Amino acid sequence: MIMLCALADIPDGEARGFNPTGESQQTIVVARKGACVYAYENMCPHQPTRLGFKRDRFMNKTGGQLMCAAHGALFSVETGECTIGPCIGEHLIPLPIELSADGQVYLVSEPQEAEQWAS
Amino acid sequence: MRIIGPDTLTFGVDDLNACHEFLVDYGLEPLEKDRIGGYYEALDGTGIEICERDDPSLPAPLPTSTQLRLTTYGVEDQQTLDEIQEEMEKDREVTVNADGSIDFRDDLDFALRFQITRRRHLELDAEMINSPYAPPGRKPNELGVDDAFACQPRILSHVVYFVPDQERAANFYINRLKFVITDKFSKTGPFMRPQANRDHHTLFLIQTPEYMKGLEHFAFHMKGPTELMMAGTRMTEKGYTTFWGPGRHKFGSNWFWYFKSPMGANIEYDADMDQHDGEWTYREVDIAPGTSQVFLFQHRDKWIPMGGPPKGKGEGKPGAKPGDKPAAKPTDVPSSAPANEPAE
Repeated sequence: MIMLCALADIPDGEARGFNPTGESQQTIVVARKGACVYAYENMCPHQPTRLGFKRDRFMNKTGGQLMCAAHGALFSVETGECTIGPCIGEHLIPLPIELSADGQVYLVSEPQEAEQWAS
Repeated sequence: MRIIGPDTLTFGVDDLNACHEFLVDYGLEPLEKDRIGGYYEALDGTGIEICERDDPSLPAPLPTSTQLRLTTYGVEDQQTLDEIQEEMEKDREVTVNADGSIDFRDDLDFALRFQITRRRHLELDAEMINSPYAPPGRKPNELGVDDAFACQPRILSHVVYFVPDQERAANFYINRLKFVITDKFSKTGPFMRPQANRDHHTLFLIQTPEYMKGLEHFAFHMKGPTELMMAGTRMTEKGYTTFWGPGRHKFGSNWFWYFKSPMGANIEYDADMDQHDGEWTYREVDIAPGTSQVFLFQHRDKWIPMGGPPKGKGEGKPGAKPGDKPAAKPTDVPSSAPANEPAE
């Protein structure tokens, strides 16, 4: 289990990027809707690039969907499915995540597994 | 038909504040200093216009994710505008606006406007280099780089569309607007330039499924390769996400560095593009990494190869002093990182 942040660190309707391997890239995106958080690999199914146009800038204006800023693809926060754009019908790769009773967000992964995933 | 090239791209955007922040950081100048939205221009007056998505003044959107609503081309003179109007009225509706510009949609339903160009003619310096056995490009004591250099996009260079039928789209621009093909990726699409512009391309078309139709990227010319690299480095240091580059294309020879944008399209800095005239015969190859770029690099955080010998190996040896710190470990990008991934 890798602690990423507190739920309160992600404003409702926003998302943040993380890199549990300690490198400088944001390889994971965690989006919040109310009391729920959703984690995905920060990688567009259309072309192998990160989603956001800037560090920690992943959401459309309403906070309703994640956006890939290369071609405007929108993804459901809850399911990761692309609803419009070049990869319509495809999905972001979900990552197991847990929210503890005291409001901490954890990536359910051993550090070595995270490194393997990122390397 | 004296069409020069794109003057303005108009977007109906999802997030006006994010687009304003991005375009200013990219280096464009907002025309209205106290407004979020409106026109953001390059040095010569070409630029980007951003409006709310539901702005009633905008042409109807394409039924895809693209936020591009209008491509405005500049022409040299009224005669060209009249020629275009006459040609288009043969088979489609043309709207003549109060300022004399004309609106219609192309064969793939992209909204177009043609106007007497808003480009201001400028007399600017090129980026100069010193090359052995050639006359020096810079005077003695004139510096090639300085952190104080501004990075200012000069001209809206080109637009690239995703189109569901690249041959039909290309034929419209060739047969009706007298564009010429300068090079072509087989089955993908052609690079084209209009009659009054020698740049290798102001328009490139990419064959895609119908549901992808829209804007793939657009680009502004920079002063030269060094300004391009400085501009891209500054964007990266502000946290913006590289899509592709820096590198140098083969077709067009232009340097490139693409960033993702909140307009839902990639935006490119380009520099030092080839120019062509009527003597040029276009080349055609299959698109591939090797045909698309002559080299490609990846940004990394700045570091310096100094700091003494490796940890634990320097003590007591010549050159090492008590208290010396080991060399700083550079931050490497994982080998599996997506192509062109910058260190954020």
